[in-house]
Amino acid sequence: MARLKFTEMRIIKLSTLILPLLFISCGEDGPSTPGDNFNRKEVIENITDNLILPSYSDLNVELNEMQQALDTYVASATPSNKAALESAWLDAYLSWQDAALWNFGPAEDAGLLTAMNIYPTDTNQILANLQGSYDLNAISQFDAQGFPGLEYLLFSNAIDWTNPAVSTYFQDVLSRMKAKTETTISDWNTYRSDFVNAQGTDRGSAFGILFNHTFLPYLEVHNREAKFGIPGGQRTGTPAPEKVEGLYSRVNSKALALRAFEAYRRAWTGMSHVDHTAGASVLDYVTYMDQRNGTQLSGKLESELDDVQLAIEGLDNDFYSIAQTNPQQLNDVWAAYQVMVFTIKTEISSSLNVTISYVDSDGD
Amino acid sequence: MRYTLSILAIAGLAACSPEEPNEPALSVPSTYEFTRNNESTVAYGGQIDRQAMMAELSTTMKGGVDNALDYDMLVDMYENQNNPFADADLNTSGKSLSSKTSASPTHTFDQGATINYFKGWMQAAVTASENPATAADGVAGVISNSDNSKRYLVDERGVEYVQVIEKGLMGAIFMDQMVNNYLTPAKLDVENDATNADPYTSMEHHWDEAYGYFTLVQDLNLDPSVSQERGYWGRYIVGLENNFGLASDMYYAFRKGRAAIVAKDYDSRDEVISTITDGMEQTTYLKALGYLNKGATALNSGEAAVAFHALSEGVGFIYSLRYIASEKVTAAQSDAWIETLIQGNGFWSGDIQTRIETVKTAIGNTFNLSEAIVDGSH
Repeated sequence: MARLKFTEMRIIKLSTLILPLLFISCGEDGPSTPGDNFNRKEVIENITDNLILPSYSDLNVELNEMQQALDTYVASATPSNKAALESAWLDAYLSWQDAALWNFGPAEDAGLLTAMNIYPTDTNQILANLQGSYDLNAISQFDAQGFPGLEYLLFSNAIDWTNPAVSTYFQDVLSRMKAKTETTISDWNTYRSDFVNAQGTDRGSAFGILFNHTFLPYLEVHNREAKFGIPGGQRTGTPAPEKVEGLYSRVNSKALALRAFEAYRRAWTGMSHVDHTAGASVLDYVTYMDQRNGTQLSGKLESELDDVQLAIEGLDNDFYSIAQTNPQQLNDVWAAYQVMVFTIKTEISSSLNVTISYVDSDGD
Repeated sequence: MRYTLSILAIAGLAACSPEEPNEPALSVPSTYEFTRNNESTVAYGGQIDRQAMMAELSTTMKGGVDNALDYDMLVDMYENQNNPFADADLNTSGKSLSSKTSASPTHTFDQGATINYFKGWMQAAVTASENPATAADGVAGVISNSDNSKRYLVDERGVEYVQVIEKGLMGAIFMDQMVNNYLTPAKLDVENDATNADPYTSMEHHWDEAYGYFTLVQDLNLDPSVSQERGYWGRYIVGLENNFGLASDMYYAFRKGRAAIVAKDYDSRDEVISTITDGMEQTTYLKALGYLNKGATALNSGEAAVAFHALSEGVGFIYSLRYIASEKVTAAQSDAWIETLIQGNGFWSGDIQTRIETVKTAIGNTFNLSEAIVDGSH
């Protein structure tokens, strides 16, 4: 699907029509290589090795710790073991926010998101599953699993952990999360060299992939809309408190949203996931182009990133209550995101000559 | 190999387009405009009418997410009976979609069964629209995305009725008529006498009728970002222009063939036919694969509405593969691929990704395609 299978590239039939003519009329430098000397590959290597891959490693570690906590609780159902499992769930959920933004290539091919964080969770489906059979790979089950599904099992009064079907279901959900994470990590072993060598800024380049997945659709769909706009009722005029992330534990919505935002910010600043040291970054490239073009987009983006962060930090922990009592606070964050989306989509993508192709033009 | 990608990417840029070779004896115009005695000799009104009928039929069926559909009305639109169209000129056109469904000499043996196949989808859509439920595994109804901006009427397996009908009829009518009727000797080895009563010769007119199913416009714009009413196939073919250059090749072939007919240069006419028929074949399998890939990606994002819509379009194009001129895909093979995708719980099944991969691989093997083409990573 979205994999970069460059070595397999052989366009039978079409190549005989198109390629020979182009070899004559066109040089090796197509429009995918803007005429500047900025070292984009160094940026991609930094993002890959110091942000993407460590975030998946950490997620894997946290999921395994949740597994241990589950085993311990199943062996001995004490309140403290339950609390430890809840704590392990939260740690893993937070680490997912560091990994969620790399939703392309191996993660997309594996369908990692479908195992992790589709919400609001379908509690009727979960209750039905506890009494019967289920295939967690079916699309109707995607909103009955992942961190939101586990949250329901851990925090809802409707769940009775003395019923062994609950721990079995928890285990099945966790197993799918672990399997998809392992597949993603394993696929990155081969995808890494394709990705860091996909130079230029066109659709298939690493820069193009980052803009057309992480920097824009992820930001818009999974942050601006899912965490703020939908529960705030930004587009419908009707707040939907039951659609917040972290519905059943109630106090974690802000921590999850802030963690996701900080990971997103590091994707621009190139700050290491591991030790938060600075590295070659996309923002450096924006600055580089600013100097060539006489623009100040780098400072503008940093200022807008600050605005979003401040807006999130100003919220209470419990988004469910906010959506009930003062949804405008959520919509204010949405608005701060929206300003930044506009800057990225129009000005920065243009300055960097990145092709924005994710917009659905199907029209029917 | 980034090199190869950029080569493909620039294939659509003017500076790098293949030069159109000029036959010394044949003057090929830059648009599909041909005149004699200061009068246009180009006419394909029947093709414009049938695509307009299809548009009204599709629009009506898409209304099934909000209103109960009327089966008699849909059949009337399919058969052009009882003045069903808002555009009154269509009602009196004497044309219909059904009479040209699977109607080429190659496929007419299957015409009745094919018409019933599409009527069957219409009847199923009507039933689903009468008591619209929220679509679910095993339940026909309306499926929506999270913000309700996309809503589709689907069957109990997730198949969107109107997409199978629309994309299927694109093959069964428009492509079949083009490649298996008008561009065959039976329609081209005919009278080519400019002194007859019409502004055009019979041969010119048949060529134009094929062209009218390729695109609705005589000045085809090859830039997909420029809006133009290109017609059902034209829109998709131009959409593939930047990566595959099919639209420029086919547009040139149609213009050259038409000029050759005027010049009575029948060798030149016959030379370009395979460019057109191959282009239709490539467009059909590229769209089938493209929609399967789009659907698979959307499934992996948990976007059921987007996924089912795309997969249903893929099913329609897979249906249309039986109408390609090369006959590389039999009706039985096309049916088997569709069955692989929609059997059992269909798109709701947990193994749907595996079944998508199976069909993609089979299509790739049938047309000897690279993995990059099959996976859409080209």
